[in-house]
Amino acid sequence: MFRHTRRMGLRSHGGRARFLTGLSLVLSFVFFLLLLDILVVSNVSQAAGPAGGREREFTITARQFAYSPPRIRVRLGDRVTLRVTSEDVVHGLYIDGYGINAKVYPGQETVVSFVANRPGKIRYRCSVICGNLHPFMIGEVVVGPNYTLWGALALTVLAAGGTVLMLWRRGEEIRDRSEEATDGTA
Amino acid sequence: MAQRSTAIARPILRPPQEVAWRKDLLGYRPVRWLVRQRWLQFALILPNLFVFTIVIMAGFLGTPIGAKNFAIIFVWIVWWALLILVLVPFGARIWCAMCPIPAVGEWMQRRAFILWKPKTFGLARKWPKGLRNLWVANFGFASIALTSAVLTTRPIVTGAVLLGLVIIAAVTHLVFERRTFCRYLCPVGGFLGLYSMAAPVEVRRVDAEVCRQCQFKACFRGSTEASLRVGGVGGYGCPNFEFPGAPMERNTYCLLCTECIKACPYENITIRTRPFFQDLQVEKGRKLDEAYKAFIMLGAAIMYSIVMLGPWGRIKDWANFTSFSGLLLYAAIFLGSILVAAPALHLVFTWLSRVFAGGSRPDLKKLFVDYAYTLVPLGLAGWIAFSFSFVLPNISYALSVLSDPFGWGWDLFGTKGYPWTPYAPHLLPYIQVPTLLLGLVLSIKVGSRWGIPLPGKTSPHPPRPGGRSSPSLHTWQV
Repeated sequence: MFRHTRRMGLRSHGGRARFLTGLSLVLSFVFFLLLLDILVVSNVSQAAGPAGGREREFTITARQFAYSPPRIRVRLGDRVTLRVTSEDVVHGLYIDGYGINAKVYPGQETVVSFVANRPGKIRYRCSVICGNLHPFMIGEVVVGPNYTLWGALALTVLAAGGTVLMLWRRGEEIRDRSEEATDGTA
Repeated sequence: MAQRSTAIARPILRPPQEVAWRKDLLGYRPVRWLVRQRWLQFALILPNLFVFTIVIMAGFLGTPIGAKNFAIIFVWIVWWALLILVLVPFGARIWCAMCPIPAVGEWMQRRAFILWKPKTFGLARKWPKGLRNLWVANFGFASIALTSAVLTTRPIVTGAVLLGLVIIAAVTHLVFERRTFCRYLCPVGGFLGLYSMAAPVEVRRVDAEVCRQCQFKACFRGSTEASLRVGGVGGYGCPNFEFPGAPMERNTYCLLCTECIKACPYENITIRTRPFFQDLQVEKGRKLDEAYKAFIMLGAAIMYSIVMLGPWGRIKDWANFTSFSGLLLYAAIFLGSILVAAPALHLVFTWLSRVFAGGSRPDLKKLFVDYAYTLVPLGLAGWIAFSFSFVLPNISYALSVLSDPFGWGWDLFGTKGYPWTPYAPHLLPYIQVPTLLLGLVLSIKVGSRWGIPLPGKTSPHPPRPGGRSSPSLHTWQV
């Protein structure tokens, strides 16, 4: 049956059940990640407030269509202060997830400050239309330890390993059944 | 009349048992009625043609500021989001059925907007045999992908390229038969075909026996007076050179234009639902040009993530054509990555797979091509993840340009002043990582369909192609 359905490019009822199981697993996984974000990260942010972290200050230059330095690294809980100036046109600075949005004028320093309470990569982007590549004018603050990156990598290995293992076991079962059938015929 | 007497008349259709549980969408009377209307495709194309005309006008006449121009926002954010997040994964090549680019040429070729006419206009030449593949489309897509930083951000370039495609499509329709442009030239059609294999819908024949006995082959040749006496509402032969009655086993080249459904005198072609990624199990039809499309698409998704979404200004400058030397370097890196490095890595892992497979080693070229199809779920997931990262932060521009499409200060719907509002940008990793993981798991699953034999066990059942090679393939996928 299995071989026949595969040859026809089709699946049986079991396929639908497996699909629904897979879908529910994926949805559970997304839910788990969101829960992790709410519980762990928000707790971290409460625990590692301004008092617990260092004061970090960076001077950033904005130009079409990048910030320099492109990436800065801080530790979780650090209070980060960005002193931003533009060297060409008016730019903006919107920090994802922090609700900070400021304008950056040429020759004039704009100062924004926030507590790096989310591990992983925080993107900031230009919020003032500054030219053709404006939507892609992005800078990065990498907040270490980068639990998000390591978590994603671990999940990748787990997902790949788990899938291979599951398929291996299924293949083994099918093969055993096939061998039993052959032995029975003999 | 002689034909009619020998033809089978209105047979009872017997779908194969395996598909009986699937939903036959033409089983719903309103759907069946709608699909059999000749005006359906025209009705789908017309609103898109209207929007497309505004896009071209905005491209040439509107403001050069991309974020304030209808052409940029509605093509590269709204249309793209609809295409890659909804239409392709769930509707296969449904976009091709409503695409305005070949419409003008096709209407001229058919000498009709809606009606079926047996005679067409134009030279109706055959496309050269050596080019009946996706290579031209592949290189066309690679060229467009190379210039995407300019194309997707400068309205006049978007307008010029789209207008150019309309002109090329029109000329192709007048010189060559059917939709030669869509099948062999369209840079978008190639990847739509590749990823449409994922979609949970398909146009397929119902009863193989009816097709075997059919003398008209109207799904491929088009309706004739004789076929119309038996049934059908008058339809053109498949515009994309497919033969649904043959049978057609993959979505890759099906434009969902429903001409075959209209042409079939026995109502033996239908639209069915099915599991996702079903076509990846079909070995027939796999080719190197399609395999290369998988590399190009996966490679382009990775490169775009680095170039467009990365923080590195110098790479953006190269991609933005600010200096000739930078452009040359960027072209070498970009094209080298998608056309050479990705296939070369794939070849290395395929070769390793073949080495590990042992026993009766499958042909390296066949394995190379077969394994490329396992990258389809991963590639699609990569594009979906990439698209989320610029669609969610920038989709709010759509409301503003809807009221002021040309950037001339209009406020048609009172939304001109809607501020730029990035939606959930901090949640992007939580959307992207599961999307990519799902793609990886599906890719591994597809790759594993070639079988993983037990090491050390002797068995009368020889390993299928791939065999012990699977772990090597999965390493490459990860």
